[in-house]
Amino acid sequence: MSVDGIGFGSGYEERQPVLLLLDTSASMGRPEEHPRIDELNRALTRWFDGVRAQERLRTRVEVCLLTFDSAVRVHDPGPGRLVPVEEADADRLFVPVDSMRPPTLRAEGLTRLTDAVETALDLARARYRALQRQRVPVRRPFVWVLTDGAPSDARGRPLDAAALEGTAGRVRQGEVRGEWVFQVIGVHGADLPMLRVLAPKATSPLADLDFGRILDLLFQSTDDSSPDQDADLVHQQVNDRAARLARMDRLESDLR
Amino acid sequence: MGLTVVSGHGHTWRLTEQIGSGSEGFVYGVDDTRPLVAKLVPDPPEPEAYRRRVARLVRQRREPRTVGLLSGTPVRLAWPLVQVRTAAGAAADRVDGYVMPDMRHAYQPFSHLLSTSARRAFLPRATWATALRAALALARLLGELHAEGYVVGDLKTDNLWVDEGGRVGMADVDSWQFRDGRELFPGRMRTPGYTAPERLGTATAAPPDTTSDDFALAVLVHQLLLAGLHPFAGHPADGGDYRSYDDNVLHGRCRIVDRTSVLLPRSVPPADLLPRRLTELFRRAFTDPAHRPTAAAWAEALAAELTPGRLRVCAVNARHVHTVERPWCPWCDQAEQGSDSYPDQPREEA
Repeated sequence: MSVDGIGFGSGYEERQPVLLLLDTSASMGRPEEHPRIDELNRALTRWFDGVRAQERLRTRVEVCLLTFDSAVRVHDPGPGRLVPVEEADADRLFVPVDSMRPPTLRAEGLTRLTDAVETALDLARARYRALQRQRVPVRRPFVWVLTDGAPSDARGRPLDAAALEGTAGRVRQGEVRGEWVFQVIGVHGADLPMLRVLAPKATSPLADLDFGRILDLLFQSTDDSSPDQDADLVHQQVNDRAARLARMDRLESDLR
Repeated sequence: MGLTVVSGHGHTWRLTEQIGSGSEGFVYGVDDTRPLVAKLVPDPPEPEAYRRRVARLVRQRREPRTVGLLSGTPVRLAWPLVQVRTAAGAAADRVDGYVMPDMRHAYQPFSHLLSTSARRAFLPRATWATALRAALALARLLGELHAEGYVVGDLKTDNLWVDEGGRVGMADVDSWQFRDGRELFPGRMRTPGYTAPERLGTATAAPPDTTSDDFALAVLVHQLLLAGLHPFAGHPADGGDYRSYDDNVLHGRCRIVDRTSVLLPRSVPPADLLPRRLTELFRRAFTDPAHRPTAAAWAEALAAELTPGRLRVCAVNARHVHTVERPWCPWCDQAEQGSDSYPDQPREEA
């Protein structure tokens, strides 16, 4: 039996949507002498340039990029810039991983993490349903958050555990229902206890790894985890792999 | 300065750049006149057992059963040559691993044969005959491994290598299941899309055996002969959501077994490009574990398809090679549906 209109690379690989949420709040502009945001920009450009050589990812993975500071924005691949979600055309927010041209990010403002997560979950669900309707063999989306801060509300006050509970519950429920896999990576001084309220088993502290290695680690997890696996098992694998990666990195850097 | 590894005999190698990482190990280039790489495995689940496993494999390299597997050029297996540990730091901080042949020296990643764009870029002369040869080489190699008592366990594209002539190599020997004297070194790994149905659906992975390897082989042969298409690809035709290859495996959703079970784009290679005998082997491989064709059976059937007179070259496109059993070209049929898995090379401008 056949259907028309399934197209992507060679066309019949599984499709793996990924939503990448990047913290662009003011703290990412630190330290002043070499701001983390510059490091992140370089890593994004280099990583998405290099992905063309990775056949397995190139043929399967599609990416949607979001940023959050005082506002939540999504990368609109058409004009190639960050726009408020409601201004973007939802059907074209995901692009094949090898045609992603990441915009240059600037660090400013607050850390509206929960709004960003809620937006990403909506987009993940909509994309997954749209592809299922088109009869594309799609796997559950991965949602990844990279943050160096602590979540705040619209006025910059830090959110407490109770304020995170609503979003945390939604994340968790979706994971149990197999709707997505949600992973938080805390870098450089992130408030890990607070991030663990949001994602108890899916928060990895990766302060010592550079952003390129973190992206490698995350994208690799799309390749060797099964969509039938419990999300917690995927989290365990990511955490184990992160620990091994960090160990090799320490070993190498000790000798530099 | 980079990492240095040292063997039990005190020989040291300087490692160059990290060239890959798998689910458990990291592979580095080795500064040596011979093409070598080193695999390091930080924190394996049972460090002592892992060291013993590698030591046994290194020793088995000299045994008659293994010498045959390692004969011929280019070498087909990235067999562990020397057990090593990282040189610096306290004993507890050192990482175990081994030095092995660098398969990049003679081969390319196997996945280069499985997509149209990669074939065009890396294996521009590859045709269906190349795919057939690679399938035969893989089946022969696996048959020989099984005959010598080895089970691959985690047979998948990532562990395989291929060259333009269809020769096939295999890496990750340290994840195999094998015996040494009375000790069994179990295989633990399994990979989505390559796991036999009888090993699915159990919380703890059932140990692999030659039969589960034979399932993975059939999946790989299918991917080779259908230009990359996984045998369990497709959206469930019953209207439910797609979940995964493994879910399709568990529910028997497979075009070659039941063509009404899945929805696939029109542009996939037609199923009837396969010779009848191979179609029959696929059906048995994907329906009945008790009668799943062995690697040796695959090798015999694939070799028969490569005998003189069994292949035909299309009159329209010389890269369209197909079995004589099909009276007209299946790749032209596919091209008419909007996708050509073996497109003609673009002509050079004069």
